[in-house]
Amino acid sequence: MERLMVTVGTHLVLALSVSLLGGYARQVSLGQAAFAMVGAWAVAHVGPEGGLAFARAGLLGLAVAAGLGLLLGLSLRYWSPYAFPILTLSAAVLLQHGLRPGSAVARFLGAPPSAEAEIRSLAELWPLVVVVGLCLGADRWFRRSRYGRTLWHGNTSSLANSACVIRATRVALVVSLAMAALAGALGAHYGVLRQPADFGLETSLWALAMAAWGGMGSLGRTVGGALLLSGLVVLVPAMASYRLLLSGGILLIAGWWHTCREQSPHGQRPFAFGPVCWRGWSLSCGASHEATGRRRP
Amino acid sequence: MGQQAIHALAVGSIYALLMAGFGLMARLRRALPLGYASVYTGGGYLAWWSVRTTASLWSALGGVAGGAILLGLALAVRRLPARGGTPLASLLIGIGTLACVEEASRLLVGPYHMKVVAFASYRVFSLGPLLLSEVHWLVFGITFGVLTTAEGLLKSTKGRRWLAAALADEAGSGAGWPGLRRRLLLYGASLALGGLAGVLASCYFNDVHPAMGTAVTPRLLVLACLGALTSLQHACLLAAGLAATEHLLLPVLPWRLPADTVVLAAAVSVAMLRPWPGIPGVGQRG
Repeated sequence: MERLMVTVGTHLVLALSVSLLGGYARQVSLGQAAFAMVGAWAVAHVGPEGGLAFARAGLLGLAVAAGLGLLLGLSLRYWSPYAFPILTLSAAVLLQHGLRPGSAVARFLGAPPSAEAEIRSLAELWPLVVVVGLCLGADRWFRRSRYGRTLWHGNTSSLANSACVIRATRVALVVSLAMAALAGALGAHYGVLRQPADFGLETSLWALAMAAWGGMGSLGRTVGGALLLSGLVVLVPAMASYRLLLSGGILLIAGWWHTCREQSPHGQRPFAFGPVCWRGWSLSCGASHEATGRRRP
Repeated sequence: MGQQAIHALAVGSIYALLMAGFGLMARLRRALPLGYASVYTGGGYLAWWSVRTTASLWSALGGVAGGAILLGLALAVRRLPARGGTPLASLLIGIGTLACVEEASRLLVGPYHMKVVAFASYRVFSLGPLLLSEVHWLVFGITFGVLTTAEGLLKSTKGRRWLAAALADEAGSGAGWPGLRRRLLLYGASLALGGLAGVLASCYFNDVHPAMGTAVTPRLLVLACLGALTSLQHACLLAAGLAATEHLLLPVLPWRLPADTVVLAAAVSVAMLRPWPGIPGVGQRG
């Protein structure tokens, strides 16, 4: 049961990171798992024994991934829907080659310990609870912040809006990659993600599929989609062999569904596999703009 | 070095053919077709299957033509307009297609690398100090013929007008038989180029495997970033340049870097310096 919770929790955080980027910034990340690898490396080398060492390692991984996100985001001078797929895929390939066993970085850091954390009691799940809570809080903060509102209602009718959109997209990228690093740290700590192959394109596509299945841009639906799909794969081990096929099928359906949809009342096409996303957004925020007394932008 | 140059030229020819089809599909769909490399994988497996069953490469070429017409017809008769979906939806459909084709290949044929023996005996011809085999002539001949024909059509006034009308037709999803015929021809041509590249690649590298498409996709994206979508000439030159970098420059460097690392680092560098020319959607909100 603990193993199930840990696996689902790790995948949930990864899906949330993808949903934030895809639902708000309308960008697809093809290398999210590689940024999770940064967090995993930090935990493996700094905090393998758990406790406060995990917290230090998690912060280190988060900082490194956020720094990489900042660097990638700064390269985004001209908005393009293809910017992040190409940049994240590039960064993922570079990271995987840089951190693979036998590389200069791996030789410098030394081989990480291969033992996984043994979960003896529910109390040892506190890193999982803290990380999931942190990521849900970060997601909620972003939605309610001016960056989230800019992306949700933004358009390129004027240059000022384009600059705001690019700035908000950069912030979304930094937050998303930081969350991915935390997912990797969690996965490495509990032994869910251990091998270099666990951080490849297949895992990135799986995270994308989980977010797309639930509904990118909708917190509640992303959580539901991630819980459903990752739980299915854990409870039915035979499905793990067909994860890439499942990911591909879900992405095909989600893309086709999005193509067929009507535009939202705000004039921006929502991206959700389920009902209209703007309604899900206000539900997930817990309060509409009217209820909080804030003016609608 | 000369022999490496021949190899680089052959690989560059395959990239050029693939990029020509990719660029045409991008113009038709008004989005980067990330799933285009699945046609490349399909062509490779078609070559493997036809060589295995009929011991002839001509059936593979015929199969590519037939498959391109059928798929082109399916794309041409669909009712959704080309601009109906956002780039995000197109990206997801492309990635989903690539993943499904890769997995289907793995499940149907197996995850292993398969050999494609196109010729019973490989004769080698010497061209001065250089040695060329029948496969080299096959690749050079087909690529040269197809691309020069395409360039000739594009350079002619009638061809340019026809293409412009067809692309405008596609954007408005023109109804009626003339519109359908134009769309069918363009989609069929684009798919045939990709399938042909797959056939040639499988014969040249003597290898076909499920991850062919995902291995070549980063190269297509890099070429798109560098401006290969602006014209056929740019596509050919950049493809040749990429192949030369991979097979001539990288091997002589003191540090051993995988080709993927270098080509993608190039993409990142270009992304930081300039907008990507010819790519639909750049500078616009999706």
